[in-house]
Amino acid sequence: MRRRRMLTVSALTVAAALALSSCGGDGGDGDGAAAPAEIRGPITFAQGKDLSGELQKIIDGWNTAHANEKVKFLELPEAADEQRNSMVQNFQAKSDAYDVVATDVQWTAEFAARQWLEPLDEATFGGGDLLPAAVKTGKYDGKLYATPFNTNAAFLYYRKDLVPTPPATWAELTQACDSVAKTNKMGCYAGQFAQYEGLTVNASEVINSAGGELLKDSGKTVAVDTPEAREGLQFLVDGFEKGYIPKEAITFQEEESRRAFQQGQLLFLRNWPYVFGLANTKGPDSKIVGKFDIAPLPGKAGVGASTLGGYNLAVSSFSKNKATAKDFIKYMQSEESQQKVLTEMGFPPVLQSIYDDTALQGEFPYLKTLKEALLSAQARPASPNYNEVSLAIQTNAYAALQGQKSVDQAIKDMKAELERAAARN
Amino acid sequence: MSSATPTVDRPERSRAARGSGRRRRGATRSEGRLAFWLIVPTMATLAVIVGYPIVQAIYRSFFSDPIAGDAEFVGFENYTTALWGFERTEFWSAFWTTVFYTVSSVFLEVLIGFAMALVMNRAFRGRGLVRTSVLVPWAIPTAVTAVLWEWMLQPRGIVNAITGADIVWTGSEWWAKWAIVIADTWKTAPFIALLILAGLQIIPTELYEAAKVDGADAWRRFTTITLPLVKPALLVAVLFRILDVLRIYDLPAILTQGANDTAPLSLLVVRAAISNLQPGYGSALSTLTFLFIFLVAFLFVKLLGTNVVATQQRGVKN
Repeated sequence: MRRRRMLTVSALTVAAALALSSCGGDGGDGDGAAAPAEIRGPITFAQGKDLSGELQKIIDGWNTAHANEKVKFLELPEAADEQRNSMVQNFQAKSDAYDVVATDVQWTAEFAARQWLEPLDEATFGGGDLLPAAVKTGKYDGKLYATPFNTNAAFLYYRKDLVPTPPATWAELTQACDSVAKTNKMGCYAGQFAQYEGLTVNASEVINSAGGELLKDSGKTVAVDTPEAREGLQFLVDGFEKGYIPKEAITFQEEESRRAFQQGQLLFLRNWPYVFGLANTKGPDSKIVGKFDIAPLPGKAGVGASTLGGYNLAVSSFSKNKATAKDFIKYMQSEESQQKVLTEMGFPPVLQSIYDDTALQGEFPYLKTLKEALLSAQARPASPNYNEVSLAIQTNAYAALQGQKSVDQAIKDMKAELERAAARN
Repeated sequence: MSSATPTVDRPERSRAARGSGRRRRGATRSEGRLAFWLIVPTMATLAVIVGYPIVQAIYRSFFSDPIAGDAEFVGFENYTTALWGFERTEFWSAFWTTVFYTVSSVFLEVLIGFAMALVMNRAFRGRGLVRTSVLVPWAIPTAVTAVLWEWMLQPRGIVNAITGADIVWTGSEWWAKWAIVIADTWKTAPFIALLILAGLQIIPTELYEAAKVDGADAWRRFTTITLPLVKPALLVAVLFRILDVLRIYDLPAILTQGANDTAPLSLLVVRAAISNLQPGYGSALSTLTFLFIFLVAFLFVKLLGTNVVATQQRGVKN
């Protein structure tokens, strides 16, 4: 008797579970149909945590002028990975919760390939005064899916009290290492070499600075198996072997390398513009106030190619009010908004004219060098499987830096893994 | 005299048990039915919240992960990719890394935890304070522990400063692996200590007194009284910890980001399913991990489970 009851109950439970699961499966289908592009109305803007606190004021400028098309700022977590997870979940559910999204420059290919982003008009959002390298990061397969909002490029920070003229090539840098760094008993050069996205940035930079390439054709062709790429990676590997990159640098991310430079342990540092203000702040954190300056990164034969950082703005394919979304993006790229991006939020803007403004150059001394770096910057390889690509670059570069693989083997393995990632497209 | 106490109690206890048993058997039927129906809503909820995702994951693991378009049925391809296909080096490396963490971590935790439990079992002033403060590492969230240890293990950090070593802890394979084992042991030895302490407190002190009278030294008392009687609690603790460490994720993810061959199986799952947007392959890895852990638990209970009860009875008789 008891057994039969238990069986009945179990059967009912399983049936209930199956019934509930079937209704939970494709809940978002109704929202999936694309809305016509002319609809206007209130929209949401999803971006990672605004550390400056000033973004809302820029948005308020739009809201006062457009009472029927207000923009709601949805703050996502601070870490880039968490932002990506939020957006991916939103897109996978085909939800219209996010209308305008602030995407990292490397996510364009991933989101566009999965048809999560609305194509943008190239004349409006891809030309004019916008920085060309930044615009390129918004393109996938020949079409424009995202347009720049803020950008970033890296400098060579150097101790101007010890090295009056900054090195323009790697050869000059190693010369300074052998002479100046050795006599002063300090580490010579460091970037970010821990196994994380920062290593992909540094590795891609040295490979590009030597004239090599990683991927072509929106991530479909692998172009890393060249002597130039090997020379690029060899620069860093030699640094570790010969000791002018301190061995603890293998654990460095941005903050660790900044601290080492500020404590006077390094002659040269490769890092982002944010270090400038911090290193010049008087106090126990910085022993080098006023003793350093910045220059574009050195390369194999001339100026090196910094990696492009920054964020783009894109419209979700599942948004209901796409016309408003596009106009809002245009507003965020206007000269007024971009000036506030620099002065209030502290990010490099994407309009070239702002960099030439002499008043702003006085307020932000690194502006001129930053424009130089941005004009010669190259983005990391674009691919719909960017995370896989980044992992392939990171793990092999890391093994080479540790001396576990020869540079030749590392590049060969990188090629094989990149080909696998490309094949999945 | 002390050995006579258990036998005197037994006949009385069993008579009482027999009497109430007859009563209890009658009440059991309706109580049991009520209990059953009270559990049904919970079981139904669990089936939907836990059962359905598991079944869905296993189902999804038989399909591919295209960028755009629909997933196709590919049978066991995701599994073969992991086991002997393109990703085999990564998979088996993570497998042996997980096994290494489990064996070394659990071994060290039991050793240190046992010692801590023996100390806490003695009566001394401030024992309550010691017992509470021993729990502090266990109370700290694992993510915070990982960040703490990452700071301490920096090349110019405090561990290197105190020991005078110049080790790049998170920069080389074996040092990074030991860093994770150390952090994990520091965090969970208190947990094992408390479980063992509970087991130790059940042992009647008369046994020790009798043994002392019979002339047994401390080591003899430990091996013939403490160890056998604490075995059930110890085995439970060890089983919990083994299953826990086989699933380890947050410590390696934060301390080393899985670099230098420190990635455990769970990290591969998260990487595939979330970072690389490959739910099919991630589900396959997840199922493989589940099967492995299930196998370990099954073997553990099979080999040691039945012995636990027998050992206890034997111990008490002596």
